[in-house]
Parts: sequence; C-alpha cells; structure tokens
Amino acid sequence: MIRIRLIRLAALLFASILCSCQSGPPATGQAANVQRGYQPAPDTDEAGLWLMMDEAEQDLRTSGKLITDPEVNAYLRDIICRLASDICADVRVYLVRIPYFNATMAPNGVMQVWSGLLLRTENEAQLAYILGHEIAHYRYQHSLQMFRQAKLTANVLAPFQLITTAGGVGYVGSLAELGAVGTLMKFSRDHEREADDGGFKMAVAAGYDPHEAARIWEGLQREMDALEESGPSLFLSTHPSSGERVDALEQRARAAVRPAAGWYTGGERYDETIAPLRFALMRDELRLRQFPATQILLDRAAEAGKSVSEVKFFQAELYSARAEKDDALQAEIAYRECLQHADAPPQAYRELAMIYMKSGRGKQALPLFEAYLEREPAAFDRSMVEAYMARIGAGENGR
Amino acid sequence: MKNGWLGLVVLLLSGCSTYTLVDPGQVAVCELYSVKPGVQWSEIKKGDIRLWTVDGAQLESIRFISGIREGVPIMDITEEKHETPFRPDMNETELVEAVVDAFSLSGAQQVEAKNLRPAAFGSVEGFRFELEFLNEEGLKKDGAVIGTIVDEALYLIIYTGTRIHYFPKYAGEFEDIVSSIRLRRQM
Repeated sequence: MIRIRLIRLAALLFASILCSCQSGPPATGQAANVQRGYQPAPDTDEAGLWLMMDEAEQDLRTSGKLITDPEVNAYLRDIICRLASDICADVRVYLVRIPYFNATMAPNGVMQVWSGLLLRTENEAQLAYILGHEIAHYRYQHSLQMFRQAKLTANVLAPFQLITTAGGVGYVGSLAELGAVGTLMKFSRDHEREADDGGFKMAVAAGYDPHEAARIWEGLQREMDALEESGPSLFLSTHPSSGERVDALEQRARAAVRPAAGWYTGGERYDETIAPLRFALMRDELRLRQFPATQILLDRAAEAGKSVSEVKFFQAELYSARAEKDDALQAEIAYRECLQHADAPPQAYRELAMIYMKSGRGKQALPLFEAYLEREPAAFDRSMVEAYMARIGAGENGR
Repeated sequence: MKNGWLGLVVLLLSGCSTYTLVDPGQVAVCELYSVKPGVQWSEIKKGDIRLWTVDGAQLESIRFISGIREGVPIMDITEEKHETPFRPDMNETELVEAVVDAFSLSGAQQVEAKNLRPAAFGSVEGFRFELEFLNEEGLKKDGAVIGTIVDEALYLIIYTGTRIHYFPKYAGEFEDIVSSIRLRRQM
C-alpha cells in the first residue's frame, strides 16, 4: 500500500518536476492555451495522465509534509488569482515542507510550492514571478508535451523507477536520486523560456515590479557560488547557470511600462504572512548543514531589511551548529547582539545562558534563564531549565 | 562508526536480516547497563544500535543507542553529512534538537519535543522528553526518549509507535524497562 502511494506521489513529482521552476529542457511545441475548466477528452493519453495525477493528488492531500497554515495557503491562492484570474480556480496549490528552492506544476493543475522557496523569495513580487512561471507551464500544457516526448524516447519509466527507489528516505534522498533524471530534463529548455515569458507577462500585467524577477536568480547564483566553494552539490549539478536568465529578465524589466500607480513589490504583506513560518523554515534550512548557502540566505535577509533580531539569532544558531574554530565565541557575540533588540526570540536568552553555563559563568546565566521562562512560560524544557537554575543556585555549574 | 537505524529498519523490512528473540528477564544492552523486559521482543542489531519490536518496527519499536562518541552522528539516519555529530559538551536542549533533526531527516514530519526534564537513567542523572510527529503518510506517532552522557559517551533509549493502538500497547512495558535500568559498572 505504501509502495503504491509512493509510486503515485513519485508520478506526480515526476510529471511536475518536468515543469519545475528549476530549469530544464527543450522541446518545442507551439503553446497551447488552456481555458478555464479545461478537462482532457476521456479517450486520450492525456486523460490517463490526469487520472494518475489525480490519484497522486489524493495522497498529497493527506501527506504529513503539507503546511496547512490557512493564511499562508490563502495568500498563495490570492497571488495565483491575481496573476491568472481566468484559470486560478483550476490551479490547486499545495505548500510542501521541503527545505529546497522549487515549485512544480502537474498537468492536472496541481502546483507544489516547496517551503525552501519561501526563504528565498524576499517579497510578494518575487514569489509572484515564480508562481506565474508555474501557471504558464499549466496554461501551455508543458508537462503533457514532456510526457509525450518522454514516451517517444522510451524513457518514460526510468524516472519513475529512479524516484521510487528513494521513497523510503524522504525527499532529501529522493532529490539526490532525481539528479539522475537530468538527462531527460535537459530537453525542456524551450518550455522554461516560454514559462519565463508567460509568467513575466502575467506578473507585469498584475502590477508586480518586474525588476524583482531577476533578484531571485541572483540570490540563487550567490548560493550556488557559495556551495561551489565547499564542494559539489545536487543543486549545482542539476541547476544551470542563471546568468543568462538574469540578463534577459533585467532587459525585459527595463522595457516594461510602469503603471500609473507604480509597481507593486508587496514586501510588508509578504513578511507579515510568512512570519509565522519563518522560524520553522530557518530551522529546516539549518538542519541541512549546508552552512555556506545558509550564510548567503542570512546575508540576503539582512540586506533586504528583514528582522535584525531574527537574522542575528539564526546567525548565532549557524555558528553553534557548525561548531568550528571560533564559532563558539562568534555565537556568543551574535546572541548578545540579538538580545539588544526588544523582539529577540525567547530562545536567544536560553542559548546565551547555556553558553555562560558551559563556560563556568553560572551567575551570568541565571537572569537569562529567568528571562527565557518569563517570555516562554510554557517552554517545553521548563523543568530542565529550572533544574539548571537550582544547580547554579546551589553553587554547582548547571551540568 | 556507523549506526544507521534507518538502514536497520530497511534491513528488517527487506527480510535480509537476522532476528533474535529477547526473552523476559535481565538483558545486558551494552557495556554500561542492563534492563529487564517483561515480554518477549524481536531484536535486530547494527553497530551501536539494538532495535526491539513486537509487531514490526513501523508500528512500534525501542531503539537502544549506546556509547556514541564525539564526532559521531547521534542517530546516523541517512548516512549523509546533514546529521548533527555528538559533542560531549552538548546540553540537553541541544541533544533534543539533534534527535528532532534526526527524525526530521529520516522523513518524519512536524516533529515536536515535549516536556524535557531531568530523569534518572538507572543510578545516574539523565534526561527525558516525549515526541509527537507524523510519518510521511501523515500517520500520527508518539515517542519517548530517555538518555544520559557517561564518560563523554551518549546513551539513548527511544520508544516510538503509532498513536493509535501500538504506542499505548507497550507504553507500560517501556516504563518498566526504563525503571529496570541497572548499571553494570560502578560510577
């Protein structure tokens, strides 16, 4: 049963990933243009493909990986409808907790947005350009064209097999296996250009600042460069250079006609909506232990004027997790800087207290532990922290 | 040193592994301690991990992770570089985060730790916390973890099971096992 479910999800992922925003492959195909309420004719290969995707969607709906926060999901749906009011009712978006940059579009209108994307888009306009790109894949039926192309080349089963073999170890493992699908993906580069074009037009028509489109790829390029310094990665091996994409998007942005009301970036609305998720998403990011890429994310967040206390906190967390050279000292400094801000997360008090306690400065730790429990009275580790405080109070050094 | 408890589960599922039965009575888990199970468990070993189950590892299991030294991943789940290596100076909160990270990397979702507190591990000081999480298919599971650091090595006992039926089924047995921990050497 589990295997059938994995195969279905793999099928959805496969059919979707052919049209993911990551880039890819070329085929040709004059763009079809799906209309509202589109359904394939029942006796076609497309209907069979939809049936398979519909079954996979059933599994996706109950997946533990879904982020079900109603406000964030409503926000994504709202952007999609701003971009494509004619077909937005046919696009069903799922926010999936996978800490990598990606969004995918299946032929039956299932769009997956991976949570790592939300850490890498800095405002609503950037997110809109990605979602617009995916909607264009749907509108132009790219995954159907890819499916038919794959059938012609007799490769259609290979990616399914590759994906399902990794099913037992989660998407992190699946992603590694997906690298092997690269040869098939290489032939949809024309689709990517067409989706870039279609998505760009939709976003500009909706008033989103076109200059933001290139910023996404610039940020990804910085991450890729940082990872290159620390060794090869899946991202590098599957993601083409984004320089050409940046140049093309900037050129188009300069040519776009500014609306009378000015361009919309939506930074505040984006930050307010994503804020409840950011802490968990940053934790997911740190869990990957890809510290050079995470450092770029933190640098970009600081440059974009995101919450200073949050940036300092996760900078400190990065140092603590990496634990190399003078990272312990750097972590202490960053936690202290974080605590200069009134909106510092309660965990910052605890973490700095732990550093003090470890280094024999129990008396300095005590008020920080107290501040932590005051701000987080239902803390999951309250009993442990109270035990530390009691030990420090008794003249011991915590643990 | 590789522990690979996920690999161990895969081995179990593949049928390529050798089960042994653990009868009720005193059982030496590692060089540090012994326990006294009250029912018969099926056991599989790999490296520093012993996994016990009655109905199947996907339904419920107790994992004994013993003697993890500095630099070794705490649970060594995916054999990728993502996992947090153990450091003897880690505090209990860091150990909880490392366990939560390891579960998340293995595909568990929405992993939440609850009620971290001091707890005796046999006759030495240790810690304990509970876990709630979903598996990849969205099935709710519960967990309980007890651990300690002795001579700069980490010892964990992790009980997990489906929230419906299996976790409660052996929760009492798990508590009895924890209560029965006896150190095999003088501390």
